Amino acid sequence: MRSAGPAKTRQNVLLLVALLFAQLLLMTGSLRRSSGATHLESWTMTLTSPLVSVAALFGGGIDSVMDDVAALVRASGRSARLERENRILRTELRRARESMAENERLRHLMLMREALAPSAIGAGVVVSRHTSTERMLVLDRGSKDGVRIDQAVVAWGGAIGRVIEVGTSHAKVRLLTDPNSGIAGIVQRSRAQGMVQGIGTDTLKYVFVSRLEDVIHGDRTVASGAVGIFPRGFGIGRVSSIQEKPNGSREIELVPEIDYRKVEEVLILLEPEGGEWLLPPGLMEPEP
Amino acid sequence: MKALNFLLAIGAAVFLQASLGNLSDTLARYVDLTLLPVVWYGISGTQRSAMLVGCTVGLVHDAWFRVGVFGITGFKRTLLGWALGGLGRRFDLNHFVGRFAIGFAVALADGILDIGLRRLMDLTLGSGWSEMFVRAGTTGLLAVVGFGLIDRFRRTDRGRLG
Repeated sequence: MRSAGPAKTRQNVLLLVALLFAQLLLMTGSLRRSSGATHLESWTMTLTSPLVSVAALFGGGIDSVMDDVAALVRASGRSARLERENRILRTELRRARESMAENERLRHLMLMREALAPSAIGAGVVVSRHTSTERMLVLDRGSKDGVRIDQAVVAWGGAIGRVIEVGTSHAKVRLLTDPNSGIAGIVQRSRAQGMVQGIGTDTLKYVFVSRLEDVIHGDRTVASGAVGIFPRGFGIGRVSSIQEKPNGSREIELVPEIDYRKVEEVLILLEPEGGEWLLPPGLMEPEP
Repeated sequence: MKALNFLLAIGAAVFLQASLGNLSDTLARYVDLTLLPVVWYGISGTQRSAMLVGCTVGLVHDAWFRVGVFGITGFKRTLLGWALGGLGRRFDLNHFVGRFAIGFAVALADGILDIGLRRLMDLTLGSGWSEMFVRAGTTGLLAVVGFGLIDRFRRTDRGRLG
């Protein structure tokens, strides 16, 4: 137990009121996107950026070490020579696979970039967060690279989300699965229009679809381009379930085309043009 | 020295939370390490330090781990730091049961305040009640284990110094 005099208690209350008031102003400024709040956030990110960047490497390193430990435990019954040889080969193979996968991703991104040039830039993911209240990414590109609020973020195969905050060298992206996300969608096969909403889980909800519209299990939903952030044609997800409600409405669930948790590199569309070009050839379907 | 400890505590919490996010999404979802400095300063420091650490760690948390409203976590944690500092002044909470109970209660209060503030700002809420309770439990456990380690480290350090 620690004691404090009445004067100190009064000072603490004053400090509390001052801090809370300052943060209320920050929240209001942030909601109105005023420059003061944005600058303070950008400044905070710049100041702590080295710490978070090292943490990202550290976390990735531990993950890799854990993979290695698991591999060693599995191989413990084998002879020392084979084990050593095996480990070397597996390390080489993993590195090669990782390089191949990275090359593939980068190649796709480069192709996409060429199709869109000069209206898109590639970005790496620094922080990703997937909770029930928010789903977001922090990218290593910011206003100095031409990133602005409300630009669309995509990866190979479809839409990821939109830029919601921009710092000098970082940008925050609200994923489509975030409960505050919404995007105008259209079923590629039947052209049934609706709104795709995030619900804070790994799936999406397709709402405002008329009961008369033709939607079946497995249908692919793409961005309709109606709101103007995502160009028309970007993949969003596939219909995984359709439930008829007693009140006559339908609840349609979509499985996103992209596993947002595994995204490491993305493209930020600096201009919402050329969306049709970004569809992977295998996913192109003829219009009815 | 106090200021250095203050910055170290915040830096360590942010570093570990960011590392955890890169290590496992599921773990990062149920563990909020940036709450621990607030709990620590609340039960073992002064009310003012608890408020300031809550404000600082909250703003850094908002900058890196939240999207939409900057200042919401700082607001919550300043308030929690003040409440916790007041409690810590009246009761001795710096023991095994106290640490768990306070860790649990603070994480739960943080979640409830979050829901309240989000409602006020007309932001959509996810279905996060179970997640909130699990996070509260892990925060309680981490407070017991983490603060226990700090105690041990301090005892060893004191013993070495004579």
